Amino acid sequence: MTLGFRRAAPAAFLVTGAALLSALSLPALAADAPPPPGLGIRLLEAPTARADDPRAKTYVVDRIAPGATISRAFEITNGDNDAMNVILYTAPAQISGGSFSIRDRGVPGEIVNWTTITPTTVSIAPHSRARARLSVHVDPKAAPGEYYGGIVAERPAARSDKGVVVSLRVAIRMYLSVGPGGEPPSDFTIDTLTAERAPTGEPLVVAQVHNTGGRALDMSGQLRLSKGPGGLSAGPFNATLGTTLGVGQSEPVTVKLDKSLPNGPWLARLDLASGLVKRAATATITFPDTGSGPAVKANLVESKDSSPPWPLIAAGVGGALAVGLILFFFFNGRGRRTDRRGEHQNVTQH
Amino acid sequence: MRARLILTAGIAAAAVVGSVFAASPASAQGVTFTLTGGVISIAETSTAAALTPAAGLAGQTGTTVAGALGSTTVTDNRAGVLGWQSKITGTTAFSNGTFTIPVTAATAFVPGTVSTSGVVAATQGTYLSAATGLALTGSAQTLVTATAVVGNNTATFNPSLSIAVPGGATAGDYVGAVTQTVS
Repeated sequence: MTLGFRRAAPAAFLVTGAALLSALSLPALAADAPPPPGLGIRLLEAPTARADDPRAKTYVVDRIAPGATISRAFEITNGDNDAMNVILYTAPAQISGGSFSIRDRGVPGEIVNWTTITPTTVSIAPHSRARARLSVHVDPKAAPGEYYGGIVAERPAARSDKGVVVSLRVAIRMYLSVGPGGEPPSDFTIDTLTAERAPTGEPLVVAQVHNTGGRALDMSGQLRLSKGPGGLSAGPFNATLGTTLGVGQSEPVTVKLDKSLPNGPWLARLDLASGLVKRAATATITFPDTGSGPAVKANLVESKDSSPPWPLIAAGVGGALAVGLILFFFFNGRGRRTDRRGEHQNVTQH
Repeated sequence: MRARLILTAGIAAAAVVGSVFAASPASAQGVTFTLTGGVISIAETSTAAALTPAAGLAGQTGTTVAGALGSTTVTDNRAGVLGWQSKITGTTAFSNGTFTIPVTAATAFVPGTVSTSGVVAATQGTYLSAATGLALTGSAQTLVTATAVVGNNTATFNPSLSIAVPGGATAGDYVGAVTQTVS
């Protein structure tokens, strides 16, 4: 048998490797892009222990023992044509009605007492960025529990003699779980699915979701319909929620569907996720012509992870690159040696 | 020579694979890695908004004055699936130096539609007019909610205020401040 490895092959491996590497580094483009209009903010660091949790890459989500300290770098951006003077501070927050609300500057709270922002004011040139750092030192006597707050960047309102002026604030939410040891588990249930008809004629599916864990949740997800009239399937449709569920809270998640869908009956499957916690439920529903149908008890089913298996893909890419590099050096060295001997470059096996 | 080259390639390959897994969950608490995600921003003109009375009414007691605060754009370049909310707070009362109209006399609303780009459902709900608007308070309340987010998205809307002029209000130019917060 003849294995026809030619000298061009390692080059092809290298080109492929370079292309894969550039594909892997694509997210860096978002960080290097010009700042979007106005006042912007983003987190620059996340804990390695939460590398797989998308919430921890957007918000400050962590478990801290009383007396311990954590630190996060963040960035403030000015996408306007004028320089911007920005005030940086932390403020307490609350979750109610599915909504995360960050209080005003100066409102007292544990989060404010425990945090230090450096610097507290920054002047940012047009279309530029500035860095700052948050430090959280939890009081050694702090009671265990969930504490909410925000890292706030504020562009104060301009002075004016008349009219209404507007201050702008952008914030990174903070979900801190304080206590010794590991954090309480996150979990939720999908209790019921209800088929409704909006006044505008669109069918809606409303799911009642209950936070049964020990941490706040930020919900996202999709609904799929199957086994409809004539075997029809539809979806996925993106779920909408007032974004945040506090511990023990129960809120509706609404999915707006297409007006052209027949009434059913349908087998509805709702997949919801908050960070790494994923749950799915199914129910057979029929859309009413008007108003609301009955709330159907949802059957919890195994959740499928619909996101691409990035660690596996990364491992595959890394492996391919490694094989490419090894083959390159192997045949480069061997080729040079065989050249010296004046032999044929192909390797023959019997 | 060949052994050394293979060893070098092996180390390089291990470094590549290792860097992919640098953010392993087994790391100790307090250790962080660098993020490359995008920014969430809010843009709005810094010019003071003039509130004007309805035609024929000079802002006298029992009437309302209303106006737009200025076009507001939220840009979410975080490339995720987390929604966002734009909230409004009555930061100061409205005063002409001699008379003060409380924050609670003001109503916030977003006329028309919230225009968007990207995959996002951004809405002001029922806060479409002064009559069905959001009564301002000194705390942040949600004016526009963005859900069903997939990837980068933007939303542009026109927040407006309507203020009921209470009895006893004196004539003059009133000044007030509101705050818009995005997170």
